[in-house]
Amino acid sequence: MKYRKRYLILLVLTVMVLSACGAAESTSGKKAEKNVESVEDSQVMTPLGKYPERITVEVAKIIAANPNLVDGQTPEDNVLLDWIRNELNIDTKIAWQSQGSEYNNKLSLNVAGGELPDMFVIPGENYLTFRQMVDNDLLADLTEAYEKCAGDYLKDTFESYNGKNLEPLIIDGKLRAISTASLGYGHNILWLRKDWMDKLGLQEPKTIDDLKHIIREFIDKDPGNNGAGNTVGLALDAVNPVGGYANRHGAEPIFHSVEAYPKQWMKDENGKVYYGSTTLQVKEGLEILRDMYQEGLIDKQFLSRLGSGETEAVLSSGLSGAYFGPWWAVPGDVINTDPDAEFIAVNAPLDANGKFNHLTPAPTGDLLAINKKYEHPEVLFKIVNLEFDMYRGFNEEGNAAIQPLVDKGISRIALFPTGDFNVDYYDVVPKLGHIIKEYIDTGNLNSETISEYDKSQAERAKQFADGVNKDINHFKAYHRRYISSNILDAPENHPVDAAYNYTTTSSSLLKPTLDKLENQMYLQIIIGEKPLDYFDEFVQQWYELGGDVLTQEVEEILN
Amino acid sequence: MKNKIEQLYYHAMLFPGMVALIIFSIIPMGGIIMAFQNYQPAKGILHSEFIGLDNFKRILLLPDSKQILYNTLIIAVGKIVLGMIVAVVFALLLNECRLLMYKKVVQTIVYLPHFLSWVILAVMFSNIFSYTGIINQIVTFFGGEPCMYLVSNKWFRSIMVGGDVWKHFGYNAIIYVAAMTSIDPTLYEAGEIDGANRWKKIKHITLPGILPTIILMTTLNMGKILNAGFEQIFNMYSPLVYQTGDIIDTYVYRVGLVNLQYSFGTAVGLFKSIISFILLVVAYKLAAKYSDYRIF
Amino acid sequence: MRKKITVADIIIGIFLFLCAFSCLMPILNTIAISFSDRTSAALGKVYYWPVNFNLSAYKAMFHEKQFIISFFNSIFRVVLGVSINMLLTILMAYPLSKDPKVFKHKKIYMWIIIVTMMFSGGLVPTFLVVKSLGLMDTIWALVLPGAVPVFNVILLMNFFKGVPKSLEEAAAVDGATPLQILWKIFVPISKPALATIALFAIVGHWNAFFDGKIYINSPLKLPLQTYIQSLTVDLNPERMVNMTPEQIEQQMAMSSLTFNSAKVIVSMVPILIIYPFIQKYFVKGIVVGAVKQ
Repeated sequence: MKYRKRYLILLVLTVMVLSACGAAESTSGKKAEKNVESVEDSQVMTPLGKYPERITVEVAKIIAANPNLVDGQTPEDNVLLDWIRNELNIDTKIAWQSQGSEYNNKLSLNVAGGELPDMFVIPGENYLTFRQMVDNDLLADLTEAYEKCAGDYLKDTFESYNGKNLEPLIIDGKLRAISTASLGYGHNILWLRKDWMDKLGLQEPKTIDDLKHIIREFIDKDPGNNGAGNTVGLALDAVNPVGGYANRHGAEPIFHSVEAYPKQWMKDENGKVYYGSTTLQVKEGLEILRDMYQEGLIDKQFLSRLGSGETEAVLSSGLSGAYFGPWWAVPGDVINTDPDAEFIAVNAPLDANGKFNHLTPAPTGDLLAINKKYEHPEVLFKIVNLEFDMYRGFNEEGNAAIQPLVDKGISRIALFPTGDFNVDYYDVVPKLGHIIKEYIDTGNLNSETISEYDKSQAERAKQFADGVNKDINHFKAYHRRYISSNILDAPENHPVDAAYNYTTTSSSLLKPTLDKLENQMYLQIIIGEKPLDYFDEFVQQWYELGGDVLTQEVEEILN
Repeated sequence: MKNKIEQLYYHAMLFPGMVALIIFSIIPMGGIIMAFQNYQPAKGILHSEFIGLDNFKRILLLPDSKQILYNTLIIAVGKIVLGMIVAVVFALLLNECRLLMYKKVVQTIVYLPHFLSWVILAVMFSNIFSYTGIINQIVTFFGGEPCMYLVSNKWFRSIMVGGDVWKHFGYNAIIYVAAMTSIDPTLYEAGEIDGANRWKKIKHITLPGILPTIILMTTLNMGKILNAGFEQIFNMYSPLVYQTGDIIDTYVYRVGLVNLQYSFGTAVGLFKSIISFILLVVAYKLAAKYSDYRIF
Repeated sequence: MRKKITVADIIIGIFLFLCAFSCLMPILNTIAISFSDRTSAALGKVYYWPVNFNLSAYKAMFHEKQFIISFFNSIFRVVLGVSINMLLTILMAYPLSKDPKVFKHKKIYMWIIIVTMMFSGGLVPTFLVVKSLGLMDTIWALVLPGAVPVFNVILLMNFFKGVPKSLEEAAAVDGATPLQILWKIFVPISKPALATIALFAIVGHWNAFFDGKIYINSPLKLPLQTYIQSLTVDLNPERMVNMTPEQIEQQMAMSSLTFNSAKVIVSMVPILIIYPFIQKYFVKGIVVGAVKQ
């Protein structure tokens, strides 16, 4: 008996030591850190400078489901990787690739194992992981590489963000990652069935009362021929009726019209940080929603539409003719139900001063970073430069190599070693919108500044406007590029910046509980399960359950 | 001499399997050390700071802990108790069915869900429990209010328990049916002569006959009391039902992996393993004592 | 002497029917959805019969390379994984079924097995081991960590214990080695138990999704259940902010109800095919293995 026990303990001890050794070995890294001789060769340290000798880079990337691979192209071996090899003398290997939250898990496991690939993406919602990596000194300093090797287009687009997209990534004066394009103007706007409004002789709404009137008419007069009592009110998301930025089928514009900014860290006029969901204005917004729900002006069954695409199905089946959504969120399937369906996009409801308040996006999205142990941090910029020169057509020969593939529907995400990392101007959406508007209104296409993809969008939008082709793709292009894109930077627009867009140290512990409390509160008040005054109770609970800690942490970060 | 060769053979036969077990099960147990550390990936297991029992203290302090333990216990106990009752009742009904063909067909069908994965069943469940799904159709037909079951804190635990019972009742009944067939048929004949009706026979002959099996299976299940079913809940829960549906295993997964708190996640996992281990030892001791059952 | 059918018989019959029906209901519903059109399915108009019958979900599925490849990845995984499982299970169960007097070090091995059953190092350390062995992103990462299905070993061990000693002794007298005894006597006599653990192993490998999430990096190596699981995960709205409209739509179409239902139905087919063959054995196998009386 005694013998057995001793044996067991011995075994466990041996095992512990063994595994400890294993971990230590993996952290100290497979590549013994060479004294990085900075590449002095001025030829190499340029945006597209070719390495004299072949180097290898291992990347981890986020991919899309169903990348539609054709012509023998794979993420591991494709035309773009060939170009990177030939033009830059860089061999790209995929260390791992996965989708959305799967990617996060893989990153987490690899961080735990202390073994990161040479170049990798840090998903935008994990800004905190980025900070932890910086604290643990896992990321390479990109400052010098950015100066020398970021191409004109990259620097140009970055300038359109006024430095906002670099600021959160410069820690102690050193740039540790770069961010994908966090495009502006993705906020929710009001979408209404234009054909229904025309039929009933309704005007574009300005205030919340105008909107209620229109929905009331939709329901009472049934312009969609759904049969009496079958038309429903505003389509609303079942899980996040009140979300943050770009929350399709959310009700944010109603809150913004009373200057409430739920789910955002904001600063008041005294510079004090507060959580946007806790203000009295939010209560005001909830009152509006609750009244609308009671009157049936919000889809009575919105809570039940949980399955993916169910809320959209309410719109595409013509049951509802009103919703809030970003510029691109037009339900194309509606033309299968009603070939004459058309939508308009409106900046409404307006606030007391006649302004349409809306949030701006977080300054950064997915981040691209380099492992500290990797000797050539500049490859990041070289690869991105080449990719987008080819993709945007600045490199004509390169564009000719990949454009046919893109036209066949192969996802750019599958080809690029940087996955869905994107480079573009902050205001590209309204900019293109105006070009296409001019094209449709005057027939004049200012084609020099736009890419092939943009041109095809312009063509489709025009063909729809001219009645030449009314299929689903033309329907979408017309609504997105002509209808909605042109109201995004109208004079009544009033962009509002959140004070802070990321999580803090205690977020992972406290946020799940707080978010749950908050999301339930919205649903319960809107459908009348709890009285409006429950909001006050929520605010108190929110602070008690850790909201005060989070507020303090945000304050500390900002000051 | 011959005995020695035999022994060598035995060791050799065990060798490949043991190598696999040691590499993939025993060696990773060294990672348990992380539970006593503030594990920093950059430093590795060897150089991360030891913080003693701090992670365990945090478990006790965290407001969520109580709720999660409660959820785990409620769901697991519900599955064990209800699962047993339904399986026994079903076995009794099956035993009473005299149409052999019918019995066979029913048996074949009810074993089926046991072999389908929760990934697949989660898709099916979300279909039938959706607001406009079949369950709600039946509910409204009988004059009830429709409900979104899978995101309702009122219903989530019941569905997890019910779903698990449903998936396994046919399969679990196998053992009880077998126990019933091994009951001495002369007992029934004697009962018949005494004029016992069907119900009396069930009550006085069949049930007592399978009682040892029932006790045995229930005791053995005690070791599973902290296993509320990761695969099932992981594939069906959502943030809306964390309040009632979050169990230890899903929590460990979220905290340890998604939120990068490796040490804390390991500590919670270890906490669970230790309690499960104690329960299991007790359960096997009980089983050995009362029904003379020994697994080893 | 046939007894006449009583009311109780009818009630029992109805109850049994309901039990069986409850087990088929979700499957029938899913089949109906998979043959319906997208909008009807999303609005919940489909019950047991397809609405606006069409095959588009199945057509799309069979054009989707990823699904087909994942399907065969899973088949391959089952073949390889189950072979390894069966080999190791048989080899281990035999010596362990011996009395400690016959096999002296049995207890040490049993202890190791018990410890592995009770404790696990957790996800991260196991991941590190798999990674340091260079198994990441290979089929071996899916079959080796679970190469020894401990419960099956114990099940078979208990079955072997019930094999009459006389058979073995007779062979031993003839000079057969333990390996020969195992192969010529124990294996043929244990067919029901072997069929049972084979079924467990097949189902286990076919249904596993979590290890694929962790150990597989290349989409084209994903097993089927992992792939289906990744499709049904809710879309994260925060991620959608940075997607182009085309990407978002592709994602939405991918996770449509009809499409997912079709995939689920097809993924059940292999289980349904092997099920009747092994069913006739497994009732016997389970009972003997689990309950020694």
